[in-house]
Amino acid sequence: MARLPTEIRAALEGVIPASIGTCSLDGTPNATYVSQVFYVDPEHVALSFQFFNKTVRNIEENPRACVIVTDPISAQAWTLEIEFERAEETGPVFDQMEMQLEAIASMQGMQDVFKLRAAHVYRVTEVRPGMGAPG
Amino acid sequence: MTKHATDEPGALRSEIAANQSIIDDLNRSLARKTDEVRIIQQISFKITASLKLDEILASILKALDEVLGFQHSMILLLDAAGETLRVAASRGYLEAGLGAEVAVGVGVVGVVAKKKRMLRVGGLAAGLSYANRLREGMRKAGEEAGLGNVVEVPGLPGAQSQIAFPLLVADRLIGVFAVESTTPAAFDELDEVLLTILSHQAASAIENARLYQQEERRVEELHEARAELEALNASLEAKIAERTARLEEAHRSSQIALEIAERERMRSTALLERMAPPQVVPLMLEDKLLARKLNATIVFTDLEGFTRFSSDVEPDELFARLNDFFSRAGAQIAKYRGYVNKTNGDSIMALFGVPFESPTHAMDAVLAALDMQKTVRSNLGLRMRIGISSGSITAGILGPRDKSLYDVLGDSVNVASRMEKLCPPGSVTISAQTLAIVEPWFDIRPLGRQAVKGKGRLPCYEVLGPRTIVQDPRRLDPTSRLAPVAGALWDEVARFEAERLQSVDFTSVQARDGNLRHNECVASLALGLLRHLREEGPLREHAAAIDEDELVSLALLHDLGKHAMDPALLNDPDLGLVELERLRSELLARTESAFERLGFRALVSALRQLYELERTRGACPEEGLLVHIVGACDIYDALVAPKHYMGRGWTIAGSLDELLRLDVPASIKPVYRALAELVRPSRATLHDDRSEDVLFR
Repeated sequence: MARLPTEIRAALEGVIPASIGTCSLDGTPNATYVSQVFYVDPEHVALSFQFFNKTVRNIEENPRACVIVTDPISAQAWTLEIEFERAEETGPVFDQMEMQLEAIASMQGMQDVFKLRAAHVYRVTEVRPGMGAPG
Repeated sequence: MTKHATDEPGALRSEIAANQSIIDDLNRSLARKTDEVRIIQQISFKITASLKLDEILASILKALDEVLGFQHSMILLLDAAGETLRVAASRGYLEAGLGAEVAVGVGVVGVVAKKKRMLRVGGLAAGLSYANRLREGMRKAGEEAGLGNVVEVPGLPGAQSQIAFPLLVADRLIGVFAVESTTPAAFDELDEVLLTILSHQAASAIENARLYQQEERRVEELHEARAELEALNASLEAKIAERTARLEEAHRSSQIALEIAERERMRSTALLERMAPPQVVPLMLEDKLLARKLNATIVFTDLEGFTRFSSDVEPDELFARLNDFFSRAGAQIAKYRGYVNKTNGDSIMALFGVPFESPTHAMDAVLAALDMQKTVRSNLGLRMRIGISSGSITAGILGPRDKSLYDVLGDSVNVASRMEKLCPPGSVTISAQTLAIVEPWFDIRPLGRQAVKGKGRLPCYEVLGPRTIVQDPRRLDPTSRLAPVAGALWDEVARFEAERLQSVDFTSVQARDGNLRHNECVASLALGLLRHLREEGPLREHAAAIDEDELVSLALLHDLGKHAMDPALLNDPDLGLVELERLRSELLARTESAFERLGFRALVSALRQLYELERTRGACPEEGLLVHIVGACDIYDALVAPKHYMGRGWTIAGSLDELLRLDVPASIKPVYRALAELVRPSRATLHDDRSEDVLFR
């Protein structure tokens, strides 16, 4: 269990897309971008679940993942070890994520394409500045 | 509190440093909190200082800029339909963008409005480019079906961060308040808290201002409505005043016209009444008076020696005296239902039985004439000639149109005029035609046949006065036991009348139903009968107790009520039983009230018994001896008097027969028998040997 430091908040605003690494049950890794890692509370973050993709499938098999987020002003990167805890389909976290998605999608005429299925809430198990494996 | 706490001094130092950093953080946070409270106070003060919506909106945005450094902000208000938000105020944009619209549900502002929740977006540009890339990808893959149009929303070009708050009043959305920045992740959670508080205040201020504006508009509308109403009222009042004035004017004019018309009518009526009897004036006014034939009596009068008399007095006195004479004579003529048709110098032509026929016209004319003679003798010291004649005449409006008069034509008019010329001064001369009618009632002396111009010789008669009982053998048989004393009785009654009842004009009352001297006859008979009963027979003691004055009074006054009754009704020979009954009760009522007025209240009970006696043909209380004496005499005289009773003339014999058949109590029978004894002709005898009582031969 780890606490997110205050300075990391700007990196969780979704200005610079984050990278996420997951691993299937058989050990096959997968890395991709996610548009935003949402701040939930000092010990949790959330990822939006819109499409069934490799990341979602891997997480179903193996709940542990690693994300790298970047502060858009200072370019400071942070590495977060996270572990899937629950999927929320209602509540304040889901609502904020959904509203943000809808605000942007509606401007692009894509409100029917962008649908938030659920907010996947992860527990932060470790947080460290910079990119890379735990030191 | 770090997770790597150890007992090593180095680690301790770094832990202390870390703790210090946390304390610093908390201090900074505290300082900022203090600032926030101050900021909120500042902004609150500014936005609640006004009630004008535009000022409030501008002051909110200005305060955000100046106090918090948010340079780009806008306030959008929801339209009445709740579908569109319009920019009502903005700050920090090149173009004010006022009035720009965004649909509810579109963009950050639209979604905030839709969800009624705050939204903070830190990576707006990135999100948009990501979405745009996705859109392009879908377009290339031919998956455009689910795509809508790209929408332009009002806002800052190249905005990276946006934070927007719903403006809520009791959970009702009134608009959205949005702040933008080109800096990514420009707003943090603290801004969120601060702006949330401010947005609540802004919502209240906006709502208040709106309510105030609404109220102001309403007040303004009320003012306008009131002003309009006042203007209307003023014009209405003016109109009403004008109409009222016009109506009043019209009313005044019509009132004046009515008054003039009424004056004219009264003048015409007064003029016409000089030209015609008052009864025909209404017909004349309507021009409906037709000439008609009437049986009437005409009276001409002329003052003997008036020319000489007039030369001896001053003109003023002459006219005064003459006018006095005319008014007295006019009153006497009117009293007997006559009409002064015209005067010529000192002479009068009067008509009786016009314009409506009257059964008593001849008697009335003679009585008026006798009255006039008396007046002239005592008031002017002159003597008058009066000529009377009766017969058929034609009455109508006569003369040139501008000088016409109600007038009569006929031979009787000429004869009456001739009678006047032939009349000895101080007397009343009647023609044979009048004689034929009035003879039974009056003491008349023939004047022989006199030469009349154009008529040869005509018989003339002088009326001396109404007959007394002894002067009419049809009323009292000269051979009867009463006849020798009847004259004396009559005189007693006449004296009583003159002394005790001088206020009663018996002649005029009797003339109303043409039954002249009936009361005096009844009184004379009753007085004679009473005295006879005191002398002989079974009722002597009873009779002795009766007061003669009461008896005479009752006899004289028993039908005094006629003075106030319609002569036409009193003389109607065709009245049915019901009408007679009604007439009788009206007569009783009026007589009773006359008794009260004259001071004979004590006799009212006897009067009632008398009427009851006549109504029931004799069935009356035994002890009413007074009533039976008067009643018997009343019935007797009513039958024998010249006026027809029950449609025919009665002889003394027939009358007594009727009288003795009355169903009176046996003890009272002697009263009736005594009367019959007193008045029967000496050669006649009373037979009572028949079962149905008495037969009179």
